[in-house]
Amino acid sequence: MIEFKNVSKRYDNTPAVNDCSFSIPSHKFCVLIGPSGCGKTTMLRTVNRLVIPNEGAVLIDDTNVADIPVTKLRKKIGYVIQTIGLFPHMTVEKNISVVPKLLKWEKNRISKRVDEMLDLVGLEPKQYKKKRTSELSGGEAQRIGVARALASDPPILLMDEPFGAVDPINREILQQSFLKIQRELKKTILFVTHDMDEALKMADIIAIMKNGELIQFNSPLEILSKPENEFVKSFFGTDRIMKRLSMLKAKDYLQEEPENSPKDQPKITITKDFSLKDALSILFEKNVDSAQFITEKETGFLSMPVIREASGDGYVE
Amino acid sequence: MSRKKKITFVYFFILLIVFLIIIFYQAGWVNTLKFLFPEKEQLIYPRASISTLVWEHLKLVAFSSVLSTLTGVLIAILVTRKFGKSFLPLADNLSAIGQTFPPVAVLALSVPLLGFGFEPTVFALFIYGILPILRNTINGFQSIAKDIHDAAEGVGMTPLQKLFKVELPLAFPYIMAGIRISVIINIGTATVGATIGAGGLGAPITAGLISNNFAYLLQGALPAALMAFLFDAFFNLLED
Repeated sequence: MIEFKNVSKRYDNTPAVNDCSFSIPSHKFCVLIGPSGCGKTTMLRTVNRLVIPNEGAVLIDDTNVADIPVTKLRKKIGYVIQTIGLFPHMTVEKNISVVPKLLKWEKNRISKRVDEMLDLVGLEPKQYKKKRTSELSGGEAQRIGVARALASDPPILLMDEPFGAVDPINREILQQSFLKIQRELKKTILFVTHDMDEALKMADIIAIMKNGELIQFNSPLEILSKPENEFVKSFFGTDRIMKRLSMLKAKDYLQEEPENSPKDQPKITITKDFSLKDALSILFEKNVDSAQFITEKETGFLSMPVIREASGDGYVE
Repeated sequence: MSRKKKITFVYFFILLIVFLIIIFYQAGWVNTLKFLFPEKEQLIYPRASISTLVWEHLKLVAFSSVLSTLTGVLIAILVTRKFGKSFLPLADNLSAIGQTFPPVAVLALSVPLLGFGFEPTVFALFIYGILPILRNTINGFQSIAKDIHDAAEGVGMTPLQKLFKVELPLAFPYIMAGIRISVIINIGTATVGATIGAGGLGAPITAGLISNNFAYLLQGALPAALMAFLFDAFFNLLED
């Protein structure tokens, strides 16, 4: 668990982070999001002590990070940055084995680990091991950056806009493959981004910051349905409700056939990943208020009121 | 081996052969000089053979360059650390001013301190040779991007590990360029050492200038020039 306790940081009396408190449960993916200059990167860097807070403390599993020797602390925390920061004078293999080497692992173990890591991030070990970093594409370099951060199997991962410098298509691929990795490894992750779609896609919990202050800290679905204030609302855009609907599965909302429903309702066969947003657009397309939806296992009805209620906006249960 | 590398290699090899011929082929010198200066009686510099002079010269350059390299790199490391940061502008300025300072002046100033001979010359060359190395090494360290520092610290390297595993390897090409400039300047400047009795290839040059004997002058200047070219080609080889 990572716990921020009243963390404040000032640079020349300009506050960068102001009295922020929240905690990230172990094995959860927390996305720290906000406009640039909101203090999110500063916040992230307090965890591995690249930034020392003026006030407050950061605790990892109830131990103040200030009490852990700094190099020991950092070896237990994987760190991925936007500019990747691969060491240009080392091959891919050397880059990935930096931390295991610092930890004085045996040669065989390191070499095996490098292969494992390259497999994990989806790069063929034989082909990539000996490559120089200058021969890598942006997406490949970022994968190596992730591999390096994970090499010593640290329980915590800090990622500072890791996919920010990659083109949209590759970013999508990287996000998907990273989510897959996370499902397998279950690290405690603190991930900084200013891309709201990325946050919604990746996060278990989202922390929204503005001007150094924590505005809201909750799950993506909750934030979408109950934004704390106008800033959060505007940050997620006018299609906020659609975004929430697109994250909800239609099959979870299927209802019994309502009484006195019209006879000739359309029947639509859907997959298990079919979202409420998709369902809504079907209703619009067919120009009906409700329809019957059939999945492999179940069948049921969805109507406008049901979807509206699921959207959460303005409804208090 | 790439084509470029082959060419640098061949170039180095040719220079080496020419250099060795010039050092050891005494008869060649006699015949050539006789042909060039038929009216002169004294053609060959009498006090020492060219190979001895070259050896003396090499010693001057080697001692001073090794000292310059160690000192230059060390100072550069110190002024780029956190604790030495306040000395960085000073070191920067000194190395810039030093380049405008004529080497003869350094030699002249070192005589009252160390007297005549080998040591004061080595000392003067050493001081003068620090500057390009210091400057280049500082540049090398400063060329390392902030994210590389971040990454090195982020993976948990101690300051010393960072220095040896990241900073020095990345600054290495810069350091080598500095050493190259330093050595080549030193080969030329070392000839001036003869004026305070350090021997080396400056000796026949000085003698030639005093007695207006162009043959002597050639015996110092030609090997010295070739030696500079040879080292330049050698560093070229190291570079790739």
